[in-house]
Amino acid sequence: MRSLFDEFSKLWPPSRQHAIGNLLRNIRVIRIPSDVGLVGQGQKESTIIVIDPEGEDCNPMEFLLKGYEHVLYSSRKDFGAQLFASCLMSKRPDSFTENPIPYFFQGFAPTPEDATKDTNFIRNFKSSEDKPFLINELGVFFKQERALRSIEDICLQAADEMISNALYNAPIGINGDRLFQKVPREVDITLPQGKKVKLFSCYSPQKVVIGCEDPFGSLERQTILNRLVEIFSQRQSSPIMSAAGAGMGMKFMIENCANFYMFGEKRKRSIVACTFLLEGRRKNIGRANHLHISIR
Amino acid sequence: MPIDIKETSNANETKLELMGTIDEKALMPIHTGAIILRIDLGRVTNINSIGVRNFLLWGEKHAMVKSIRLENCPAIFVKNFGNISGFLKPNMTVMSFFVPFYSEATQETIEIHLVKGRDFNPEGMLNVPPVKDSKGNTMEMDVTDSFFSFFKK
Repeated sequence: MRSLFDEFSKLWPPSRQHAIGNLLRNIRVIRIPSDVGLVGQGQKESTIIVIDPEGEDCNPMEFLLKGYEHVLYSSRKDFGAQLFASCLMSKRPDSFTENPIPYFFQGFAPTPEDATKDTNFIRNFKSSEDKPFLINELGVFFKQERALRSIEDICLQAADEMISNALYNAPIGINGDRLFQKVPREVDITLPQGKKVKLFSCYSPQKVVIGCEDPFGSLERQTILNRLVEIFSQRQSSPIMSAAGAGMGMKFMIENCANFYMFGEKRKRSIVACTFLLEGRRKNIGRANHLHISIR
Repeated sequence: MPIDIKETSNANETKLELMGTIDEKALMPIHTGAIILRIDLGRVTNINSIGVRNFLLWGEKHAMVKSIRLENCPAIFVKNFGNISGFLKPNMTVMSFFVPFYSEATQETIEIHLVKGRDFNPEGMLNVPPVKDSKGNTMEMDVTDSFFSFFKK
């Protein structure tokens, strides 16, 4: 199996290759469809699945279900940046959790006119009663950037789902029992004392990221992947009728965004984030979405 | 914005005008005895996963209503027609909806209102004139094919 350095080092200038060479040599790559026979081999946490244009008909969820954490599409303009982000999430996760925003904005800097605007949005919250205000504030924040208008509704929908997940699904007690998962979503809840969730967003002229970080670290990889396989294996999907949640939040996020990130550090924190390209809806809703689901 | 619903009725039909987000707090009124229900969604700003489920359940409760006419459906609502099983019930008719258009040259976005009988027929034949941005460039429909999959029903 080839290393990331062997396969893709040409994406970075020689001066940078020297600095990041060791990191790239420690990551393996499986390219789809050419390396499909290698799927299942190698250490999953340090192997990136790269789907080339002729392999784009495959179901990316199958690779995640086999234990791989990063599925990327080589046809995308941000492929190089996403490869590097995957390396860092795999080998240096501490730096990701300290400040995830640089991972989403690798290689981007605000234009001079954006430098006068506040392109960062961070709000802490702890109650479901905060949600309408957060969504409203985020909408006002998005209105600063004209290119965001074409995707504002799908961005706000993603934020809505992230907030609800962080409040109702994420909180666990000392014994690991889910505190609010069975609470009907129309019933307001408040997080236990001392706990809070962070909603963040940031945009550049090319893209916007929206994310939510909770302090519970309660994501369960297998449960999540089973649901994803279920909803993405059919053309049409159905909400869950028998549970308090509808089980459609992740579907909406993944379908709408260009890049999806789910990062879980057991009992410490979880980060769920989406990146949207500021190039209209279709560029985001297309099938080739980079997926990062890293739950340890 | 929490949902706000305005109701008007006459002898034959009841009209519900929804404004805001269809979410867990949105309680849609029940009119199971109505003959014709007109649902104006033109001022719906968003719908979340619980809102999708609630709308689906509301539709099931109104299965005996002769005709439910969905008017001015925003794009965020329309995408559920093809993606969510059972979202669009057999007694529901899409009377009009919005399609977003996008210009790569100027990054402008425009929502075009398509009306049944004028801009599309029930089989999905679209009759939309070219849409131009402020610089005269032709704008493209900013949706994927699945957006129109409800026509095949």
